[in-house]
Amino acid sequence: MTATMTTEHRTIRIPVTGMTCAACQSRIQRTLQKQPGVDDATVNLILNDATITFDPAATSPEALVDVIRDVGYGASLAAPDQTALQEQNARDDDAATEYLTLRRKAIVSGIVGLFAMIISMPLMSQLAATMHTAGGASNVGDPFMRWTMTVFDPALRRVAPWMYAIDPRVTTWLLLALTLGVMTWAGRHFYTGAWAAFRHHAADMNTLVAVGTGAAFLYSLLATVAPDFFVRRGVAPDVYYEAVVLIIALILTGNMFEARAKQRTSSALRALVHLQPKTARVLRDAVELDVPVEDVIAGDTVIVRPGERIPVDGAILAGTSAVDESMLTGESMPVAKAVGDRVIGGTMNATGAFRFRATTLGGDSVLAQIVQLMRDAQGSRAPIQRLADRISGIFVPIVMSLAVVTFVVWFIAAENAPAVRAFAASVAVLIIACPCAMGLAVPTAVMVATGKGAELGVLIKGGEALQRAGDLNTVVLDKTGTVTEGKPTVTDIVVAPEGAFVQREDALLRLVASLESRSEHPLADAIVGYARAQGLSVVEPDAFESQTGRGAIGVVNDADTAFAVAVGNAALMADYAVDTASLQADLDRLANDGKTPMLVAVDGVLAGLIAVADPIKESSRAAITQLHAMGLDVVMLTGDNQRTADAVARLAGVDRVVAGVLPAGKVAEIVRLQALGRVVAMIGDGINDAPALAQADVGMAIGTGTDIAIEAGDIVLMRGDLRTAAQAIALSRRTMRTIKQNLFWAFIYNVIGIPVAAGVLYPAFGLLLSPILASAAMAFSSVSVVSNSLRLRRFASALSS
Amino acid sequence: MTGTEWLVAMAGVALICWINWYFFLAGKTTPVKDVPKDTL
Repeated sequence: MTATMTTEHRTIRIPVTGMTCAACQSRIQRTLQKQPGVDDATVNLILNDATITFDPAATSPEALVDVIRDVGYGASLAAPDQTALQEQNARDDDAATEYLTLRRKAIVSGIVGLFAMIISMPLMSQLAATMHTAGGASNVGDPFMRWTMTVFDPALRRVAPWMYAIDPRVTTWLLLALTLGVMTWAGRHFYTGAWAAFRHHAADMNTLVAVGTGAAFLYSLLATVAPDFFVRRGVAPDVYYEAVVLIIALILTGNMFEARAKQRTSSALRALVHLQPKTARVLRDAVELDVPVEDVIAGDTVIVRPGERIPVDGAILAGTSAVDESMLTGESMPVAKAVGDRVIGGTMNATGAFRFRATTLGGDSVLAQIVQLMRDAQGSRAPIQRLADRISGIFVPIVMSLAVVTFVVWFIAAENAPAVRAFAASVAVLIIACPCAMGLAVPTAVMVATGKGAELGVLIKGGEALQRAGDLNTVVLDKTGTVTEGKPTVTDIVVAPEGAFVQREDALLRLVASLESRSEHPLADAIVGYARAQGLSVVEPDAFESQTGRGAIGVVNDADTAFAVAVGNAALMADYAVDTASLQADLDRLANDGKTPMLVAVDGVLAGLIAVADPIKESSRAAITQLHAMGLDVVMLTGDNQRTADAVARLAGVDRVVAGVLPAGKVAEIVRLQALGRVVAMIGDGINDAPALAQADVGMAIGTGTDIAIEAGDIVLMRGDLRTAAQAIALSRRTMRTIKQNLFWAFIYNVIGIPVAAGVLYPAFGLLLSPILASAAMAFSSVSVVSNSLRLRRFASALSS
Repeated sequence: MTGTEWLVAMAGVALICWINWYFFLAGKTTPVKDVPKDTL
């Protein structure tokens, strides 16, 4: 259980066991929502948990657990200090146990079912002969029965003729014992689940299986203990034990595959959880110790060697290295790390050894936050799910009614053995109906898509965001930090053709950087940073004077020579009567490219110019081309002037730009686009653009390096690469297509399967379905839906290259 | 239709009515159990 506090209300997550289909989920959800003090409750069938927001003054976690148990499901509160990582580990273990249990039960009941079918062949053969003698066709309309009677029966008669000599009463009693064993061991949860649901006026998949197999069993039981009751009424005392066992075996097999596939849908989440190493090497009292990662405390010095995984978050104290952060950010290139840089727990150290100070631990670590966010996302519901929920809620009682109608119609219409036929057809209707496929259609796709997104460095915060992102037609980009790097840097150095610094760009840059080292202007910072990055030594100026709106002047001593340096715009140069004509063309060109050129005069003579700009990210142009190719309109918003904005837009390929807008103006522009009927995504950093991200239909917060604003936006782009936004939109569109396919197949399966099981094709084509075939079809339907969702794991956008 | 068939048809109608009443109507009127005070 994890708990978060709001001002007055709490949200907890309670693991729930025993859910098999959408009806289970909707029943627990409805019951929880009705509880006093509960504001909201969402139950997730795939994650097997309930997320409940409640008023602690009106109810308690323990009471909510009791409510879930009372409805007939398992629930317990996890240790309160469990982190998302530990909790997920525990759940993975539970899921693995569930799968193994189902597999054991499916295998054993399958073997028993086959044995039961073999030993009941003499009985079935006898029944077919009786029906034939009675003047009606044997049950040849059912392909399974036809195969049994025409292929299996003659073969068995040749191989084991002695079986046909066994007293039928011995066989039926043996079958009764075997069936009872399978029902009470392997199929027990169907009956207990159905009973729990029934007590709460609800019905689910368990109800259908329990009523179908239970009716077949009771009929057979009566025929076993009181065969005369049937004989006196002219009905053969047939038994259907083998059908009961095989139905249970087949449904368990379906459930087993489903459990396996459900485990795979959360494989991305599991991979994230397993990123964190179990131990960390810490330095305590000058001794290196390997300690469990849970025992690392904030402030510990942690040692990491080449090729090791970084155990916890921290900041480097000594050493340098390259770290592979691809598992968290999707960035394929290792990131260089030096003293002071932040490292994230779970990422892989590549080359160097280093020591770092542990900072955020446990639930606050970046990895735990991402796991938590992904689990929340995977537990959330897409709006399209509501349709499936509404139908699953009323589905089972309607199917039960249809089964009754089937029975009555067959009983009245069948010419021979009406009770037997009516019975088989109505049991087939109960068994073939599959509410599970509908329940799995949306959440499995959301699970796989959010996992796939995380692999690509895109955190999608839930089904709703995914669905809205699939509907987008307009993308609004913030310029600074989104389209551009967000950090101004020197882009051009031009030396005056006849100045003192021809072919001495470095010397010019060093003089200017030395002067600007005293300035606090952002452009000055860019020049100083650039000079230092070029390995130039920056010295303190002997004199410095800032001239607001014009630039700066001062004296810089370089190699024992004092230079009078002036850096600034044309007005500053005019003040000192510096002739700028020789660089006028460069000045205009750079200004038109959206850059900020600064003229430099040394000792009263024009020496050159240095241009500073916020460069466009390499990936931006490709990303915007992709967005256009996907049919999206791209708009760029910026607080910069029109000329700079136009230049960036031209270079990046943006088709419309709105310049000079404040944060409130960004919101207004998004509102205007929405009023025009556009579905708008806003892509910006999570801090400055928060209002615009919130206003947009989908807010995409763009992360830079490890500074990821995880809380901001509906979708978090983990690395500052705009191409991941195009990937996120492409993934969302693909997911919505998968969800629609899933819902279509789940509905169409039931729409076709139920009438066929009821026998509507019998008058025209002589086709019937035995309950055994119906159970195989039912098992297949939910497995096919989950498998279709799993195809999303292969989503590999062309953009990723 | 024979008497038995009539009987089965009537029983079927009754069963359908009961199913729909039990699952759709009766459930809605079930009072929600109060949370015991001692669990708060």
